[in-house]
Amino acid sequence: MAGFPTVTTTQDALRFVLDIENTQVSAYADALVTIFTPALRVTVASILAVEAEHMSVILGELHQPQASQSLVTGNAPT
Amino acid sequence: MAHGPMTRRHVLVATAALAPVLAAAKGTPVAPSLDVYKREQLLGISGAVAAEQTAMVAFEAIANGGLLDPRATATMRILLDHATFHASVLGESLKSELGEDPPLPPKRTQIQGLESARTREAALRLALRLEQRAVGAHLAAVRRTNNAQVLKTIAGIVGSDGQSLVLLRQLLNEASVPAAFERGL
Repeated sequence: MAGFPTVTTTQDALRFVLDIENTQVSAYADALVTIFTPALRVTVASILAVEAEHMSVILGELHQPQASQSLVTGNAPT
Repeated sequence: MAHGPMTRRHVLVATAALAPVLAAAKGTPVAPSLDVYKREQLLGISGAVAAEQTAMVAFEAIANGGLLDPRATATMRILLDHATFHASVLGESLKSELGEDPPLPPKRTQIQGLESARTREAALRLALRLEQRAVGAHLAAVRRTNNAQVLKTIAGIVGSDGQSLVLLRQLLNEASVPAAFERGL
């Protein structure tokens, strides 16, 4: 599978999952501004919030600050 | 029009004038006017600003109230910084996008439950409730506007508020992420 990293430790796994959650937050934030249906925008925003919550939990497991940003918009995949 | 022959122009004008009535009668949605749309946006964004302002004022009181242990106090100060920034950036959006000044923040005495929160648990539960209300207000704003700039801002704020909820739930020894959707109050 192209681009799938080698995961050998707990830290590797957590960082990989954090990367995925980060990408998801970014994707939901991008999608939000393109959706015209109000109810669907609400659903997307409520999922975005949960993905950001997942990030916070993973950051905690990595012993990193869990809520360091005032705006959580994620990062597009590199 | 009543005195002459009905022309195609007359029919078109009459049809256009009656279109909203006919559409409503058939249950077809009619596009809201600009005024209605602006009012909806104003209500949505103002509600979001007010919710963050309320959280900001309450978090400051809780952080300085002497009820919390050092760890919880440090967390509350982080949440206070976030709420202050959120209220400010949403207030700027209200001004730049709709030309309206943000509402004034509430006084401590106007925040229900703040004065009666006299234990660590009560103070943290109030903070959790206010953060959930802020999320609910942001989702209401998302429903009421399709302004891309505002939606982008609110997306970042909802993510930040979600992370603040995790910190508060952990301080309360609750499940960090209890549901697949964060709908707020």
